[in-house]
Amino acid sequence: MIGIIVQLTGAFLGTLGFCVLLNIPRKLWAYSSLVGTAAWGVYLAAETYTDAVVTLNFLAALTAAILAQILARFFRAPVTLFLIPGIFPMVPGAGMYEIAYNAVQGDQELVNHYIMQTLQIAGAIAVGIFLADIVQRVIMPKSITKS
Amino acid sequence: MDYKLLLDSVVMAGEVMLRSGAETWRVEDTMLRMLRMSQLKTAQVFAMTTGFTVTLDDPSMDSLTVVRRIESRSMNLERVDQINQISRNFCRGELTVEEMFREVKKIYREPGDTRAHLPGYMILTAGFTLMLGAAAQDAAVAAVAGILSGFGVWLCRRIGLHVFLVNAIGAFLIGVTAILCTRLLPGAYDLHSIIIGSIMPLVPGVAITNAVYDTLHGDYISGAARMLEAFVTAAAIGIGVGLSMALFQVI
Repeated sequence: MIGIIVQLTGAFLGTLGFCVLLNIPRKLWAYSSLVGTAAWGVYLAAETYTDAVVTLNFLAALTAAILAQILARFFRAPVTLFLIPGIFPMVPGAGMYEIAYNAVQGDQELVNHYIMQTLQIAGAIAVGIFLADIVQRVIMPKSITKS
Repeated sequence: MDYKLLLDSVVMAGEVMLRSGAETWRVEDTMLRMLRMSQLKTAQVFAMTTGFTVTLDDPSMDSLTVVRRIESRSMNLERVDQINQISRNFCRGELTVEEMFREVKKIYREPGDTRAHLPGYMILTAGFTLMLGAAAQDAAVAAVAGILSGFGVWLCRRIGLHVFLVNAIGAFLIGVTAILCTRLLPGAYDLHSIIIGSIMPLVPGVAITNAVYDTLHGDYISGAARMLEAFVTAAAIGIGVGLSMALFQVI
């Protein structure tokens, strides 16, 4: 339990750091960070049911995207202000590291494994964002025609 | 309405947004909404990650067209938000063209952000290392690695190195710091978690998000460009971390 709280605090601090780096307006810092924390919370909760990284990342990214859409409507701010920090906990930095590490170690099989896994995770995140955006556009159509 | 003034302000707004790392579709969308306020027959915007062209035309006047090339981009979501607010107010009729022009110009004139954001790097890397389930001493090492690489990245950007090199050097610094700290300092450390947490500021999360959004809105060229950007960034990080590890394997 303490481990989970520490991890969630870590997710909060990590996303908060991104808010600083990306120059997100100060009044939105707490909300953007909470998006990332909630996404990681979903990831950890889902981890007790499944080991499939693609599913886990998809669920977490979907959570982040839905929350970001709601917050963007509420604050009338671009959705990326909440979404970009929010999905960072899922971005496959670990995969990138494992690829480099195993390439240096000379383990070609693991390199291939991690390349595929990293691509799949990136795809899962993309699908999560896609879904939330499509649903949002069905519920609240507002785009203008471009021609 | 002064159409020239409107076009000028819209062009400045678009330039600020593209420079600050807004999604391409948002740039097009915002500029088009503002141009539509002129009620002219034709208002067209075509934006890409590297520039845009805008046209305003009507039977009653000569057409106005502006092309802008964007050379450098750096993330600054605050400015995207500010332009977004101005455009919202303008399209709701709360601002006149002249007021809108002045506000946009104020943001346009503001110098870019040159701070290094080292505290941001510190809590970021420490936070993500904790998030991965590592212990407090790992987070402390990650914070040091984060600050050092953040400073290195800031310095490299200042002297105008290529983005690929900047990322590779940042990742290399992380690798070196993490390996040195874990080897020389007393105590047990989890090198993997430290490095993974510390490379988070460099990983292409922004590129992935914007790639999805641009693709989803039909901007396939911009979407593909961002995806490629994500791959190149990932390769740079891999090379940086890999080099540092290979170096310490040799020693």
